[in-house]
Amino acid sequence: MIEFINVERKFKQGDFEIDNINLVINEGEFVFIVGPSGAGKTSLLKLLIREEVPTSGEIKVDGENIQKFKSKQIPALRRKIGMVFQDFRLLDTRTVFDNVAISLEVAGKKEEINEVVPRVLELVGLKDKINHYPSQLAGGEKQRVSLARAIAHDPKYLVADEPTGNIDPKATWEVVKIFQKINDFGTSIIFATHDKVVVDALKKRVVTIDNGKIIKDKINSTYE
Amino acid sequence: MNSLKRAVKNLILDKSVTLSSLLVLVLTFFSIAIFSVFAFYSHFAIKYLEQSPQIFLYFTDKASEQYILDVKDKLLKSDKISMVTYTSKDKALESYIDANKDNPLLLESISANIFPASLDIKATNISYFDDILSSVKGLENVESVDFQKVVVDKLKEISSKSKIVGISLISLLLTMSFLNTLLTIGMTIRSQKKEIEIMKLVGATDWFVIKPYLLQGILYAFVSSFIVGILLFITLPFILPQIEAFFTGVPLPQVADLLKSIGINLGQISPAIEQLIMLSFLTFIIFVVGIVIAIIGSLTAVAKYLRV
Repeated sequence: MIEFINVERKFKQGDFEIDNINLVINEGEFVFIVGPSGAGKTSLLKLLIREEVPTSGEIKVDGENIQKFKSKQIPALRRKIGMVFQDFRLLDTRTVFDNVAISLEVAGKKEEINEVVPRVLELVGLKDKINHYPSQLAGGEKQRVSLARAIAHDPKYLVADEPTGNIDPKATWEVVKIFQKINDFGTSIIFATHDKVVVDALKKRVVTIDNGKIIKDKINSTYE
Repeated sequence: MNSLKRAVKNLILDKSVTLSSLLVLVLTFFSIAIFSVFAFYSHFAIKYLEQSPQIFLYFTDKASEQYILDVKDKLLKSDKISMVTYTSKDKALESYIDANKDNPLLLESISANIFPASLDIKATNISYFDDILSSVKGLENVESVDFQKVVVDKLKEISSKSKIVGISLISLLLTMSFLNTLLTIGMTIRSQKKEIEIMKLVGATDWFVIKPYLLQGILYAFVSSFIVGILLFITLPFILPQIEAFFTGVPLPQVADLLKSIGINLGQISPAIEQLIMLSFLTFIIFVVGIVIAIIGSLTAVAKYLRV
């Protein structure tokens, strides 16, 4: 379970980036975090992976307050939470296989690489591009590699920051279907987006953020 | 891809940077090795020279031989004094006659009575000279105390200055090799900034990120010390005689004696074996110094990129 309890983060000027957020995400849930650009979606996700720290409040992952984590505990947190980025963040000098293998390498699961990497690439429909380099892939394919990397080490939670923001509508649906499939396997998904079509089609829990505040939190909802 | 493979890949990726960095390391390490040999011999030479000046203690005729020998025994108990030699009146006469045997005029009507008995005192270190002087000046039956003040002062100056120059030069060379390692590995790290950031975001530990750069630094140290070893093998037979010639007249320590002092007795060894031992020792020291520099350099270079 992920809990945000009275979480605030202020800009240096004193304005709120995140303003008193209280949010609980249960295991196996699929949650959309929606809102306009600059609403605070990305900041919320960065707080969750300890890329940033809140000014006040608590963020708990499986009951542990991650603000109290020492720097050596952060890698374990990030291995529990897979992350997909809008700009893919792939290594251009490495093949698709190596890009996915990296998450197993850092998790100390080297012996599983040859078995797991082809399997997750098959799941995202890229097994035939295993030896390609990112420059040889289309936007949607790059995002699917990023997704394969995020799930290769079998994280409990999958966090996606505008994963369809840089890809065309056809590729968007391919990616969204994979997210749906991963969620069916039991992985919790936290999907930040401002793509109304995607949110409305899936009818999942929707948390709407504006100016750093949660203004709506509804299950089986649409983008309002 | 394991860390060693990544380290080797980093070295191959930018060959010109790798080669120029290796060249700088080889030159600085080679300079350190040669300077260390010179400093090593200088240390012994200065130590020898520091013990050379003597304090001459001349006694009045009232002082009996037993009294002088008692003073000698008392002086020898001090750890500031390395040697005390007694010269009796008769011995002084003998030395005088020996020194002036070609000049009979100076030997006419000479008897032992006109020469005072004396003690020649050598200090363990030149810095104790003043202490010894003040302790012997108050002794009874001492006619005069004589020593070469100019030589002593000059030696004190040379000794302290050579230490400062030696430490400064070694520090400078070590700083150069550290900065070289820092810059080279720093360049590699900067070009892989995105990779480090991604690794950290997918859960890499600091150690996982650091390891390849650390190994890269160690490879630099290994390759450069190996090249320095070859260079020393070629040049030492020419350089050592030059250094020994520079210190002509000073009994320099032999490798066999030094080994014996740490409990390794090899008996008589040939100059070639002696050079080989020195070469191996220098290469080992350079390797260890290189490793330490590589570790500090790579850790410093990577530190700021770990804060993701």
